[in-house]
Amino acid sequence: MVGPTRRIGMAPTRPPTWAVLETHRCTAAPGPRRVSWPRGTRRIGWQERFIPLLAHRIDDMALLDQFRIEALPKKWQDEGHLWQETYFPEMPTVLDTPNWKRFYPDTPLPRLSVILAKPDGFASFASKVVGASTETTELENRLWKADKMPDAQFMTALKIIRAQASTELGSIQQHRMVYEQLDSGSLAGMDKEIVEGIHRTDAGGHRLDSISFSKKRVCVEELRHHMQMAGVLTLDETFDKARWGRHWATETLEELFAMKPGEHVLDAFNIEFKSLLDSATFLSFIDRVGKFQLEMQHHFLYAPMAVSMPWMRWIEESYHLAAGETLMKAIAVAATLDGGNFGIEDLQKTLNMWYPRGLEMFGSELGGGLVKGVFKTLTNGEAQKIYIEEVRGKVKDVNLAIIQAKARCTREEAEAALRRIEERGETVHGLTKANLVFLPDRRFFRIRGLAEYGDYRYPGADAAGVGYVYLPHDVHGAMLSSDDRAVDPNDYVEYLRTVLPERYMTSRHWDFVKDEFLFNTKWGEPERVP
Amino acid sequence: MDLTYMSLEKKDRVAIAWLNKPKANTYDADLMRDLNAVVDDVRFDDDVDLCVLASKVDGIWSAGADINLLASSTPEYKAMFCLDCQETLNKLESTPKLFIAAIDGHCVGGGLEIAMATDLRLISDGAWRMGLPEVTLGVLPGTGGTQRLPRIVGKSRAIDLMVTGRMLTPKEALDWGLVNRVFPREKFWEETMAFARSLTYPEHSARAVGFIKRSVTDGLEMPMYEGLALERELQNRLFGMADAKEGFRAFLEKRKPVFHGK
Repeated sequence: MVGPTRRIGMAPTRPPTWAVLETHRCTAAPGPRRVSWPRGTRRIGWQERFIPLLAHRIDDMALLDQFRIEALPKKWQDEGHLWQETYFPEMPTVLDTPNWKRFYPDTPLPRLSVILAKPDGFASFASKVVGASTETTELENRLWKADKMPDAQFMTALKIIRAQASTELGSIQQHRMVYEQLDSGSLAGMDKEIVEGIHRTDAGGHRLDSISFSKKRVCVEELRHHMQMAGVLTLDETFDKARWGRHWATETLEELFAMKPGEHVLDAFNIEFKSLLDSATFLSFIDRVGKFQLEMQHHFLYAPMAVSMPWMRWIEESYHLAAGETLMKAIAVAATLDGGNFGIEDLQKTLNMWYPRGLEMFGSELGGGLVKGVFKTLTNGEAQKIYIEEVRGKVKDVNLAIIQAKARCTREEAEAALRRIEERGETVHGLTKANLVFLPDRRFFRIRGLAEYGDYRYPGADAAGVGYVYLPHDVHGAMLSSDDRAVDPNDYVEYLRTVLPERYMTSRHWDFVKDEFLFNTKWGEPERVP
Repeated sequence: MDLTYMSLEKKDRVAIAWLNKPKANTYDADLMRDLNAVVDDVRFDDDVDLCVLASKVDGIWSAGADINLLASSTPEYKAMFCLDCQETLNKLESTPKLFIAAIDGHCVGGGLEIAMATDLRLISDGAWRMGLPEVTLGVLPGTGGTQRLPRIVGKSRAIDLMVTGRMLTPKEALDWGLVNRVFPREKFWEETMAFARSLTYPEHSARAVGFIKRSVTDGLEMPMYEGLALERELQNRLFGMADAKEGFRAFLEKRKPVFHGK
């Protein structure tokens, strides 16, 4: 550890250098600050103070008591501060209490520190995660020092932590593209139509400023997630002990802070947000993959990573998902009732674009066997299957919202109508299948991972599932073919133009897909695995 | 013994050292440390006559060094890693007990280099490949491959195999002399263990086996005159053992000898 764990009652040795939030919290928190502590209550230092002070319900107190806080080493606090000033300069406005209370009167301010579950409380969170087993809840056999991990396990752990940390910074860079537009008053085009449509059709408070503030709240929490990963890498000094001649914690953090938009580890975080549609779909579909990873990583061999998961997953990530879901529904309803120049097909195209990237975030469907039981609870394929069912439910929720808004009916009535529309192809309340959204087939527009459970491979590959295989599936999973052969990539591109957002077809990521995969001859003609 | 990627079983004077680092038994410093510890254990255990080196990973004996390590480590680390690997294999090779590679899977690159440091290589007749394809990565077989392969198959064939990176089938490997036996896969383990046990006490003089190994392995690296001196020295030590007396006597009495390792 860099310095001892800060215990309750210990004063900090130095003032915080990146303490916008902490300073603010300690001076401006309302009512709950006056909580009178029973005699004998432990005294707390500034780093911890804000959590109990902002807890205003007995339930919160019980919850918060299951966590402890650590500060990042100064060097990395400073680096984080620099990064925040560059990519997220609006953060102080989010952490301004009056601003915050205006939008979230019942929610404590975010906690910009490294927050770790105490070992005693860990099991109650770990037992609830996807794929949990008895081992997931137990910390006895975990390693608390990185240098106890053999090289191979260390590198796998590092790879996962690096990817996780990269997503946090990447998503802030992405969300910023949207909230800057919302804040600048220069909203134009489809996003203007969407916001105005939502204002007319949604009584749930989806005003321009609340949408923007919601995005920025997500950014604050993503930044904290990054701090959390930085804490995992730096609070245990053995993580930086030379291995293979290199200091991986330092190198990794330097690399992460230097990553520009488009340079992140996972593809989904390299796609520009060009619309509110992207932001909403991303929060619901891509952040949901994150939720799966956070849950599965409760099983992480390296204990500091495992005990980092509960707060991230159970306190923070839930909000991101809910924000995405409600916004998607609001957009869908607006598109149906008063869409102006945008319609449900725009949401569908957005879904078509993001969903394949979400599937690929799990890794190859055939992989993850070595990670299961050591770093995660499930293999890639197992987790992906559960994810697919979960997002299928979210798509259904969007459709039910559309039907309920159109027919002004109960959820039960909407469910009956949905069955008639989807199963019997009827027109109900003026709605047909074409007026609803659907989940694309899992094989559509894949560039990584397996397109067909390893039935294909590219020439020269030892095994299926390694490398890219060109398979032009349509959104329903049918192979686009001509004369019994898969259609040419040029024809596939023409098809993609009809089912993906126009804005995506001019994006940096689309160029990457074309250059590296679709039109890269190195992959050759796919061949069937014998 | 605290092992990470290997396990060691002992039965009937045979030690079985299992490689178990999924997916491909690629080796890194941790696996080499395990192998080193196994060699030490076998050396000092008077109840072990020989060691069979086998894989728990289905279809793979070893795919060689961890490419992630080679790609990510500093040149200085790689240099030390190579030195460490070579020293571990030298230690295995100079141990006066037999090491047998029981190969029931692909044996490629550094995996074959480990196998070549053992004294005998037995392979099953599966669809396996053996070779040293390091040249395709722009490097050479650096865990003893360029030195041991020509000593086993001859200079010309060794260069052929290494510069082309081509792979041999078990049958080709047998033809080249790279392996000593090919057993049917369904009986591979049974045959391998029967072969191994046939070289242990009390039916066989394992001490003589160990000394033969040392005389050949060390002697080959010496001028003939010095090699012969080593051979005489080792032979004189065997002459002084009760086992040699038992061997001669059993021969004259037309019965099977019973050796005790004394």
